[in-house]
Amino acid sequence: MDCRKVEKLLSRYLDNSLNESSLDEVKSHLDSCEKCMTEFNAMVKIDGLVKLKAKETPSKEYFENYWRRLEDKIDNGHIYSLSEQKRLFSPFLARFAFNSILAALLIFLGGLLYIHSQQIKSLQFVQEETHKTMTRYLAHLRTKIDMKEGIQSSVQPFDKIEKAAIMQLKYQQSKDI
Amino acid sequence: MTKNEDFILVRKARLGDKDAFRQLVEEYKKQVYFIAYRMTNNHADADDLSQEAFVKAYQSIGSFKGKSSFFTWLYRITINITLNYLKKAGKNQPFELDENISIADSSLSPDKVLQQRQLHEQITKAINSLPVKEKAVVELAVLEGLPHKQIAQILGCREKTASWRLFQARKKLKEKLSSFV
Ligand SMILES: [Zn+2]
Repeated sequence: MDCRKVEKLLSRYLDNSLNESSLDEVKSHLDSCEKCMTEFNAMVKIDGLVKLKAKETPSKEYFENYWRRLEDKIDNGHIYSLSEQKRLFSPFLARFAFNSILAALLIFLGGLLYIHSQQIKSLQFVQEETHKTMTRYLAHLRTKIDMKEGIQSSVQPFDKIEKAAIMQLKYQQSKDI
Repeated sequence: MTKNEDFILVRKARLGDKDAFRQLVEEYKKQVYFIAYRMTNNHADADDLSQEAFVKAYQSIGSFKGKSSFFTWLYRITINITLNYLKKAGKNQPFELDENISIADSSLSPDKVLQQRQLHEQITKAINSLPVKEKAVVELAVLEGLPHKQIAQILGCREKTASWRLFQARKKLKEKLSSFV
């Protein structure tokens, strides 16, 4: 038996799961081959490390109450199935849920953005209209001021709003200069 | 408990004798819990999964034909439930020692305890990196000391497949834990 074949059988040899003829062959090979023996020893050490896991244990009380808790579940015919429950969090479903939420969020944001853009448009319209009205009003004021300055008595006196607008206009003009 | 004693208890349980089933639970609760624990490295999951396995065993004991031992049948249910869970939960099992778990070695000094904890976490990390089916074989062969033929029965595969998985798993573990060998 060559080393390659023995290496593949070492695992079974270690667990006493070889048939007798293979067992004898592996045994006699190990007696004469240092390389395979080293390999075997390493495997034994790895098993020793894995076996340390057997020392990890919950409290004694946990096992003492085990049946009482189990009996409740059996009597109620109720199983809290963790293996089924986790289906909710399966990678596939999680991805699906994530994508759905993302899509919904995008649609929502898109909607918001659309409404917002409509609002901006109407706001611009109002601003434009206000601007036009203001321009017209200011033109009217200027004419009225010019006429006043030209001492045309037939011109109506300034009302309150007009006075305020003139003040504002003068202030603007002084700033512009 | 011998196979025959199990068989008698199983027959009684099938006729609705709950106390007979309780005796089976008392006999195997630790093994069943520990399979689930070592596969998930998490006490709460191991508790849920092992209890789920027993409830399932109780509910389907009528379908147990006695072709294998009760123990093999029960392990098979537990392993299937646990593998099912691991498949759904994804690969990332914790490797830190669960807070509900202690290392049964009271003779150690505090700083040795810390070292021991770290060693345990390294080992768990290495075992966690294995594909779940290899993990199951390591659990059954190394920690439960079962012969490959029985492992194959539990996992529902051929004996050669079980042996091959174990060979692969041991090779990988040797690489991952080379600093300790
Ligand atoms: Zn050799």
